[in-house]
Formats: sequence, structure tokens, C-alpha cells
Amino acid sequence: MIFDKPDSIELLDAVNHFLNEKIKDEVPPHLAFKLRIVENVLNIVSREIALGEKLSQEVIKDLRELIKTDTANIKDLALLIKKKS
Amino acid sequence: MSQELGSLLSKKLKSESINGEIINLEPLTGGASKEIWKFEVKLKDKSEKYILRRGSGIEGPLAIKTSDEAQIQKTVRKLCALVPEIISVSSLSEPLGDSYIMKFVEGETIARKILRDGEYKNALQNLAFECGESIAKIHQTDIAELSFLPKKTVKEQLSDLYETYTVFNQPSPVFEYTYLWLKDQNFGEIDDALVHGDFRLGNIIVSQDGLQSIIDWELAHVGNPLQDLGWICGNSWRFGNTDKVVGGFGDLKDLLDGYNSISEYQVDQEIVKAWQVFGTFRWGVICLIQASAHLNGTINSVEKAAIGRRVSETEIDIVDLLFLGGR
Repeated sequence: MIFDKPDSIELLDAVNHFLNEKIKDEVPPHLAFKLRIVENVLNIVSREIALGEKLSQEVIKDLRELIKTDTANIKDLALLIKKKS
Repeated sequence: MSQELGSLLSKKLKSESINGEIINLEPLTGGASKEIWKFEVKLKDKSEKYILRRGSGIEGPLAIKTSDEAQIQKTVRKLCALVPEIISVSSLSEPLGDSYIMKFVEGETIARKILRDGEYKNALQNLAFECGESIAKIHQTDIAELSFLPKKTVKEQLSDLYETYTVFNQPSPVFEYTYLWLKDQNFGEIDDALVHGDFRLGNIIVSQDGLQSIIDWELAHVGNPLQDLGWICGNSWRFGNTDKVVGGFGDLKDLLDGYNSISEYQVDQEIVKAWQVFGTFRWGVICLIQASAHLNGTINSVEKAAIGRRVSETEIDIVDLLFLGGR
């Protein structure tokens, strides 16, 4: 890793904490709902950083076993199903 | 901005013989595509609460004009269905733009609050039955009065959804399979009717006494009305309460009992499942459409960006329904 600590997940956590502790009670009601969405988005990004690579590898492995090619991707499977129609 | 809006509202209401000072004008959290404002008009000895609903005036791939929504509410109201009373309608060419003013209805729309706050506990007991009744009443609307509404057969809707999905070039094995599966289903032989198109928590007003009003008619059209029954059963609209099939609060039997108590056409559970898969697929494609508005630069919106990541939720819901015995 060429970057200093904190890592990207820790940075996102810090932003989320700030929004939750300092901002949430300051925003007008019609923006409170949007703030929740912002927090959810930050959590999506955190999860993707933590798990994305591993999940992608697993899906690609399953796909290659399923359609028995070395280069299989999601698009290939979609096309195979489409051709059945 | 709100000062200018206030004076536009005041002028518009004057034309409806409502004269009074506009006070407490405030924006509400609305849908992703409409502005919603709450305000009061100060009259001699009291004040009256109203809602302004304002659109862009542009018909979307699925959405109708805001002023047309008002016309639907007026027509539906004649059947004693629960909709807010329309006070004034403005077309795109008027200063207020494509919009309408309706009476404010007391209650809650936010799903999370209705499902989690103890104060709605009693209301939730009977809500599925009430929703069934209301949906059936909406379906009895005289569609001859709504000739401006798009008419869509199931087949047309399906191929529209599929084509839209294809345009985004985000191939999905689940959607490909779903499209093939849906083409073979029986969706019920029933006369065309007014379809609300988005009947679920968020678009209904609920009080401690139960269902108060049905709002947000922007996805309305004419077609097979059973679509409304499958839509509210989609897992996307259960807001985490996955074991409660109807909107996260009720059982399918209660919804259908309510519907069948009003409707001549008697609905059975099997047909609802086909519509549930249809609805889940439709929501998946709507998520793609919403996200694309952010991605292609039409509008920069964190809401619309985030919704792109909900497409995969609809895929897993369909897999659950079709392969894993999900309800």
C-alpha cells in the first residue's frame, strides 16, 4: 500500500461519523431523508472496497464452471439465456 | 425562492376565490422527481393547509404530466375513493408551471415511520384489507373520462421494459430469464381499467385510524389493473419487513379479501405471483432509468445515483420468487 493511514474505509467511516454526530440534527427535515441516503451511499462504497474484489472473483469462478469457458463473464451468461428464446 | 413561489400561489388561489396570506411555506421530502410544498392560507378566523405538487412538465418514459395527475384525482374522487381534494390546476404555460394545489391530508407517508412507530400499530392491522378495497375502487373509475392516459397492454409494457433495459447495455442473466418467464404467464382476463401504477407505502397517507388518502399518480395508465396488486407485494416495498408480503405490513389474503369485497372480478393468489414478478422486474428497470438520469448528466442527484445499486436487489428478489420458494 503506497498510501498513509487511514485507509479508504477508515476515511469513509470518519465522514459517516461526522455526518451522524454533527450534521444530522442541524439539517432541515426535508434534507434529513437525503442525508440518510448519503450515509447509505458511503456504506455501499465501504462494503465494496472491503468485499468487492473477493465477490467478483467468486462470481467469475462460478460463471466459468457454469458455462465452461475460460473467459466467461456476466454478459456471456445473459446472452446464452437470451438465445434460448 | 419561496417568497416568489408564495406570491405565485397567492395569485393562483385568488383565481379560485381563495383570498388570504400564504404562510408557513415549506418544502417536503417528496418523490425523486417532483417538488412538494406544504403551506397555509390565513383566512379571517382560521387557516387552511394545502399541498403544492409541481413537476417539470416533461413526460418521462413512464410518468405522466403533473396536471394530468390532478385530473385523475378529480375523477377518482367521484367514486368516493380516498384522494385529496384538488383545489387548482396549473398548466406548464402558466407562471406556476405544471402543477396542482390540493387540500392537505393529515397523516404520515414515510414507510419507515408507519412501520416502526408504535402509534400506527392498530392502523396496520387492517391496512392490507383497506388497501385492497381502495385499489378495487380505483379500478372502477370510468376510463372514458381519462382518454389522455396512455393505454398499455401487458405485452406492450413487457416489451417496453425489456427494450429499455437493453438500451442501458448492462446485461443481466436474471432479467433475460425473467423476460422469457413473464412472456409465458397468465396475467388474468380482466377488462382494462385505471391502474395507479405505484400503489405502496410512500404513496399513501396513513393515520392512526388507517388509510387516509392515495397520492402520487405519476405512473398511472390504463391497462390490466391487477398490476396494482402485485406491485405492493414486491419485496422492494416491504422496507425490510420481508415476512409481511403486502407492503411490509399485511398478508396477501387480507389484501385480496379487501379487493374481492368490492370488485366483480375475483382475484386468486396465483395470478398475483405473476404480477409480483412483473412488478419486481418493472422496478428493476425503473431503477436503471433513474440511475441513468444521474449518469448521463441530466441531473446530478445522490438519490438517483444510489438507486442504481438497487437493481441487484430486484434480481435477488426474482431469483427468490422463481427458484427458492420465496413469497
